[in-house]
Amino acid sequence: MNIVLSGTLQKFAQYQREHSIDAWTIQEGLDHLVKAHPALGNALFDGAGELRRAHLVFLNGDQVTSDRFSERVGERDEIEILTAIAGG
Amino acid sequence: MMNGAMTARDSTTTVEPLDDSRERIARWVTDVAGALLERMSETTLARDRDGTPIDRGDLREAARCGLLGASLPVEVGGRGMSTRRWGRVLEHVGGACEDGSFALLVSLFPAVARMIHASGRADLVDRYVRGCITGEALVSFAYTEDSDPFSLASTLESAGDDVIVTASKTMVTGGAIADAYMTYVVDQTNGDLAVVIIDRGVPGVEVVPIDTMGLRGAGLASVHFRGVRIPRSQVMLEHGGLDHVQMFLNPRRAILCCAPVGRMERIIEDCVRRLSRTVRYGQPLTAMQVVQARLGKMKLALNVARTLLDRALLELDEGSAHPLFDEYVSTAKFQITEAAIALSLDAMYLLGSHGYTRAVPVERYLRDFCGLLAGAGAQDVIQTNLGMMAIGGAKKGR
Repeated sequence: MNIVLSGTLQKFAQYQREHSIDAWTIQEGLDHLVKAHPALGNALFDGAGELRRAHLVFLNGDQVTSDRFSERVGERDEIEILTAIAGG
Repeated sequence: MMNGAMTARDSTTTVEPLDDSRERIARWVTDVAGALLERMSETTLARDRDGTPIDRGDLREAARCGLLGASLPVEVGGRGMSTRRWGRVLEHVGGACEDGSFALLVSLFPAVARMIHASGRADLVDRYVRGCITGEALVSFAYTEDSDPFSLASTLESAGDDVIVTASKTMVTGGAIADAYMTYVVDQTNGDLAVVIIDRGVPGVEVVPIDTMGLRGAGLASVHFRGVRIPRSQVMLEHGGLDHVQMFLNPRRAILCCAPVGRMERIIEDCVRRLSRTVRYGQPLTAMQVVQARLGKMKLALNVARTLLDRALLELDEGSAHPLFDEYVSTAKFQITEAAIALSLDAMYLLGSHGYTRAVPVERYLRDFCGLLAGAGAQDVIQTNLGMMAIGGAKKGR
């Protein structure tokens, strides 16, 4: 699968936008991504290991929630993580 | 001048049942807080000139009138208004009160109190949510550090039964007025963002007022926590602060715009009144088509703003809005901000040289509206987020 990071998250992955990951599920893909870029861990996941809700995940353009992260995805599928946060 | 303390009625004495109609809500606000709003209007100029924060006594009066508790849950002593109804109350307050800072603060403190209520922590609810309703314990939102959300420099360290907070929050609305701060700090044990309530009176808390372009009564300040030692019980949320702050800001974007919409309507009314009394070439300016067209443009902006706001408030009430970053709520905030600024400039076009003077308050409204540019998420950041979401969704079916 191909994981695409929004601008905010790229700084935790050496400013690389697209990441080709060998994984069968979104969760597995995210875990592999964090293993390759440990700094992403705290930005993506909260203390309980859950994906922070500020991140929106799209699978081929469809927004998906964490209950679908264990579904099987193909090697040509694209996962895009958009971080929709704003300050105060 | 009416004396607010003598004439304002307690909100609970209002017999007439409240519904969502603007007329009924306007009557309720006038009934419970009309005298206070009038007094606040009369003292606006001095606060704007001197940059003096709204007096704490006036906020206690706002609490006594029922404004600070209107949107808070009934079980803790609030009135339990829906977001939509509360928004319309604020819209009327924004129209009736000349000082944009007043409506801003009246909307801010209950919004923070709602987050404290949502924590379910009975000790914090008793102290700060009930304290908001009575006006005795007002909590501000202290988040901004002039950094991205993943690079906050603030720290929380364990010290036995206490924690020690070190942080500099650079822009805190109501910071110079508040009794306490809901702030966000990085827990050094897990690296996650914790949410802490810190009382202003604790040693090590320093409040530095900030001089601003507009909303000069809103008590904007930087707040510094210099090794502040507080009981661990003041930690409201141990982790997940990033989501928490977005959950605070998301509805805030809509609520923040309510009072300015009320003010937009008053600007149009004031323009019509002034222009109908101004005669050129033997006729009032309102008889000229170029003036009518610009007034029409202003009215369009108001109607669009109201439509956007009504839907955003309804979605928040129905729970259909995304809890962290809702596309529609953010759209409403973005568009209303742009519309309010454009409308005040339209008023300046219509009023000629008078509009450029301080004798006509349009210049102050313009300065106040500019405060929306950065409030609850900068316009350009909202635009970028909406763009990212469009790009993500546009890949569907490829």
